[in-house]
Amino acid sequence: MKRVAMTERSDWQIGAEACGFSVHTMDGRRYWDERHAYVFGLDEIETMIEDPTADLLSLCYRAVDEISKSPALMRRMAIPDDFHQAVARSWRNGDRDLYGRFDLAYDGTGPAKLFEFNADTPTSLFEAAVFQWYWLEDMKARGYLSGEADQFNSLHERLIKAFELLGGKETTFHFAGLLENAEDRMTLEYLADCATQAGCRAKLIEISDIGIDAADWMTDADDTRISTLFKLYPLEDMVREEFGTYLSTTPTRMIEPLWKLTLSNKGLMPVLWDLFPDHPNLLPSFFEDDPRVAELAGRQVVKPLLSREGANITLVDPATMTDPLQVEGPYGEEGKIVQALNLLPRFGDSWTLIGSWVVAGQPAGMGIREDDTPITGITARFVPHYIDGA
Amino acid sequence: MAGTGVKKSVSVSLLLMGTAALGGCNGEKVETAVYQDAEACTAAGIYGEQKCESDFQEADRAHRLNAPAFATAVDCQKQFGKDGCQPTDDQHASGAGHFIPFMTGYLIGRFTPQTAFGPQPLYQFAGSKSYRIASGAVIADKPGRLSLWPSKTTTMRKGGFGSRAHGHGG
Repeated sequence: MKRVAMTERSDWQIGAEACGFSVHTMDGRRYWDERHAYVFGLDEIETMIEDPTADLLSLCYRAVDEISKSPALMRRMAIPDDFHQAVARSWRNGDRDLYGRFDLAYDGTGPAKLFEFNADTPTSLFEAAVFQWYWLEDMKARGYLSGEADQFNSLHERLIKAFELLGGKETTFHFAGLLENAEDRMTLEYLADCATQAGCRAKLIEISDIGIDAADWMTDADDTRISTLFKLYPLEDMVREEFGTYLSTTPTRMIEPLWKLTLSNKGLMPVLWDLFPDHPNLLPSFFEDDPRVAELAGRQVVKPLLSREGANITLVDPATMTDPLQVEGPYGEEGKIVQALNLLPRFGDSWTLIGSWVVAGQPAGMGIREDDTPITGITARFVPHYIDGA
Repeated sequence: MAGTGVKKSVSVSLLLMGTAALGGCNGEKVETAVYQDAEACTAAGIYGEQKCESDFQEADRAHRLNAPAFATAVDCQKQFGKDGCQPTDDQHASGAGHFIPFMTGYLIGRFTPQTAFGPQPLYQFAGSKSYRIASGAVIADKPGRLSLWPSKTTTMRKGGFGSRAHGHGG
């Protein structure tokens, strides 16, 4: 893994806008940043990222087995009691899921370490699946990269295939979220595009327009029943809202399904560590009230069970830092976990995080984000990668 | 998995993004079917044995929970005939001690653009061969294939999701 300087295409903004990449620049800051790229070897991608991703996913499935059978663990993860049975049922039934993103720290040498699993509402999907792919093809066409260059990125193909498996031609998918959020809207539009290419019908709706009919089906603003709802809106919020109670009774199929509550939760990390201690891709992690937190000797990251985009994370390294590094935010009241500090690798002035995607239970590709601080947050930049064909 | 050669999608094309907006859905008839039981469904050869059986189980479950219920056996028999009724147990939404018709057929469930209906239990009035859904509406005159114009549903309540301000992706 190397970070190399690249020639920025003078017209990339035009290309980005033409394909619907609405958030390539946010608040005047670059989000898409092609002034650099990360280069990997094929063998490195397969042994250090792709295989560990498949392995981590199978560990996660084992964890869902444990968590969904244990009301005590679910309580610890702040999954409301009323949903314990529904979570277990959705896992037992094998309700299909669509996708997720493992956030990994990898510096080009040691094993990648899992920070967390964004198993419910991951974004940064479109740029990884599409715009990054276009970038590679364009750079090859313009002669900046060898024609042999490849990319760890079969996201687009796998998403279409996943929608074929999830529904096929008879299914209408409703894609719901907070549509005024440009990034969420783009992710929903992209997934709807993939569903359409899979032969499904797709309808984009506002999450607050969802209604309930007499038989507990979810409905849209046109009084049409929602057979399958893809929601880019956290399950942990939905279960705490007025209609949450319907999630355990509705015949509407949910994607992601309720069992994802056990994975899109930082409580997963201590559960994994207890099940698979010393696994090379895991970091020691404990619930905040676990006496073993003392083993970390203060070199630790404290994370709320439920949070997004780095919010409310506190990073402490007594050896090098006088004050903890803290990101403000609205999360944390449900409880916290403590994870051994493993700083992101630095490339130039950037702290680099690897997002390793899974689609329908398979490793599917990679997107890399850099930030100016060790906690990757809303100021991160997306930097493309390629696999050296030489 | 490792060792598959090329790691990227062969082609990436977009149908709707950038240039086109998402449309809604258009109306369309839905193919389904009515059968007396799972065996009759399988024998007809349109749906596979597994679909026949699982839809039957689901219809039967809906029947046991939500079949039209009458306070007395006589009331039920007036509609469904002398041998057409059975008492409920406490699974039924009305509780034990009521009377419901026998389920004499079921509708294959379908998921369509307009409506999503699960498999439904069907009933027959005394002296009529027509299959009726629980509301009493006739849905078919005989077993076999069936095309339906699915009706829209009625939203009872709205706006119960989306209240949490930070509820977005990340």
